Amino acid sequence: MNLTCTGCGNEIETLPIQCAHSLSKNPETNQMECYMENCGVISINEYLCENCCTKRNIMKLNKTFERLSSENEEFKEELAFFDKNVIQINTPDSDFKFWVEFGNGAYLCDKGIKDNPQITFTIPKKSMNLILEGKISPYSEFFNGNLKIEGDRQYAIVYFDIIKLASEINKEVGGV
Amino acid sequence: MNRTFVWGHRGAGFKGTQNTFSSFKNAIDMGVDGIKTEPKLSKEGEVVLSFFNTLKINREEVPIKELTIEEIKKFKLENSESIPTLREVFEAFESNNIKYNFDIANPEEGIQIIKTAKEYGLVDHIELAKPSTRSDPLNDFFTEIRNFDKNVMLINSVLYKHLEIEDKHLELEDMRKLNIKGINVNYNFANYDLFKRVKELGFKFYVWGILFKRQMKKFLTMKYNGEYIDAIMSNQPDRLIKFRDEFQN
Repeated sequence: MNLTCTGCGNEIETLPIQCAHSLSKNPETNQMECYMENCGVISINEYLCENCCTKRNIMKLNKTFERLSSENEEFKEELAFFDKNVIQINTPDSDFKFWVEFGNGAYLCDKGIKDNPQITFTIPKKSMNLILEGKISPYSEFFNGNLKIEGDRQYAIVYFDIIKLASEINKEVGGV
Repeated sequence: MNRTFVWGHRGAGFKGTQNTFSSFKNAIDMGVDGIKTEPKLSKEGEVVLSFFNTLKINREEVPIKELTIEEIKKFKLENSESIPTLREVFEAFESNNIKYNFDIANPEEGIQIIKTAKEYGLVDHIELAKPSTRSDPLNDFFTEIRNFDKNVMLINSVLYKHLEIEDKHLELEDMRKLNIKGINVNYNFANYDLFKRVKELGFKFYVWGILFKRQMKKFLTMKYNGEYIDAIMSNQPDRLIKFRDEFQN
């Protein structure tokens, strides 16, 4: 069976191990489904290549933090202590770009480019995904050269502290 | 019982423009015990306080070390203030009895700070720290300074590359040889076991980077042998002082 990524339209040549191992038929919908780790269970009609799955996961985690900033009082209060800061995140291994704005009580994000960011990161999307998931340290990525930072690095440290706090709070409130 | 010493990062941290006279004044009004800042040397070798190595003049990035004090003072920061000199700061806050912690980039900066502090009788009010982004061995970084002054307080900010800080990362032999008094770690790598270990080894324990209430509470209530953590550096010193008053009666 040829699989086509519903994200980028490319034919899928290699399957992520966890997905290939988890392909099963849903008796209720009568559709093939795959458990794509952080992308969750998806229909075969929405199948993504590993590349698109990583991008989707990055945006999903960021959107979780965005929602948390409007729903969780502690996170909102902490974000109120900062002036607005914009971080542009670019990936050297694809044209995937996104931005995050934090401060003034909010955490906002979207795909694409934001003008005049205070800081710009250049980082492989896989590394960014693992940082957001808390599986690797941003500091290790910085020191091994995977993460490049343009701008005042103290705000990069603040950003990583904010996502760490958001992840902690998210787990405490029973989020994904 | 000790109280945790509060360092205002670059003055009042994220309130106002950092490393400016007004930020230092604001921090002192907030009640900080000390100011953590970064020195740079002018062309004449005078110490000015700035994080940045260069200033953008006529669309060109010019190294501070190539500028005279007169040229540096002409440069306006985003709040329209000039970059302060160390002399101006020592003179302005002479009566406030605060301490200064400098993240130095090289021995020359450290020695020039000591010389200036000696003129004002403030050597016991200064600390010189190896930045946490530097991987140079302590021996290479501090020997010249220690040879210049036997008593100045030296601090080892541990490189925040390691996922877990072990004894080998602390360079204990050189810490003792160079009489380095304290260890400064990012809060992400600080924990009770490390605090206990550092205190057992006889050093002061500093934590930097604390921003959020839950971290402030965690580290302000952490005790070993009845003693709190020696010092915390923060970009939110006003919050830290408020919680210190609440948690450390």
